Amino acid sequence: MIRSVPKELVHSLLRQPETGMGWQLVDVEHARGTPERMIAVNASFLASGWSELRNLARAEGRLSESVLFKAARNAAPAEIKAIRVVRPARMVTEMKSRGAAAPAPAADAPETFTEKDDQFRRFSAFENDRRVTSDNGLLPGTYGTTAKDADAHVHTGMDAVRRYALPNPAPAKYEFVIRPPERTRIKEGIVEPANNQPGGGVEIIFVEGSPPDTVTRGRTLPDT
Amino acid sequence: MTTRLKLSERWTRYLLSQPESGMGYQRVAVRLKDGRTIRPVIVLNAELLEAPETAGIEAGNIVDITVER
Repeated sequence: MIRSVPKELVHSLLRQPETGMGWQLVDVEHARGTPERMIAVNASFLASGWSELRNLARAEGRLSESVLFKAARNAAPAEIKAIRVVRPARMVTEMKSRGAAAPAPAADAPETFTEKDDQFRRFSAFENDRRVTSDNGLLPGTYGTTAKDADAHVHTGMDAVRRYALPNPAPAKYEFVIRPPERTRIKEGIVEPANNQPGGGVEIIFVEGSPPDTVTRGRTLPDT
Repeated sequence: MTTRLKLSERWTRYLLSQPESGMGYQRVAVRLKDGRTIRPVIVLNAELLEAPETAGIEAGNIVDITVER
């Protein structure tokens, strides 16, 4: 059933990036029940999926704002607590697991923001990683990965070389833990195969870096 | 054969002001005094340049470094 986005959440959607032109793939948190993945059109209407929108377009002969408005008018008001756009890396990981279109590297991704308590990792063959500033921040344009990706897949320095397709064959065994504040500007993507390495890890670009006191030394991993 | 060259602090400072190409490295083009441009060349940790030995890159004959995607 097509629903209107509650007025108080329209602004929240407008502050989040689009997934495609005019639409966003979102997770809707209902006041009651389980979260639901939906399509938000023009930050105004929610549909359960593209098939619902296609059926509506077929029935009405078009898919205009007025058609969506009419369809949404018939729905009971939704009790929605929050709407969050599915972040690109999460989306491409899911696409990849379904064997869908090739995911994109972070450099080609739209900018998004970190959320509260997000954690990231960076791996280097150099203990004196020059991108980590003297006041324990990150310089603009520095790469990292999500804590989830690192913790699940990187157990040795060579795991990091393979997963993040690093050109330096020396084990990237020095781990840095990054805890940026909420709403730090990032780009998320998937590492492409390169440098004779398979890639496939999540890559994050800290567009403007990360402020002081957000980076600490983590583990020193075994080489292999 | 690949040769590894430590860049001067001037180039390192410049590279640190530029975005990375991936975790811990930058893909760059290097312009030399003799007019040749060598690309792609990898710089690790903004300070160690790796290039084919045959390219003839030496610390003293680098005129310009440009980060490429």
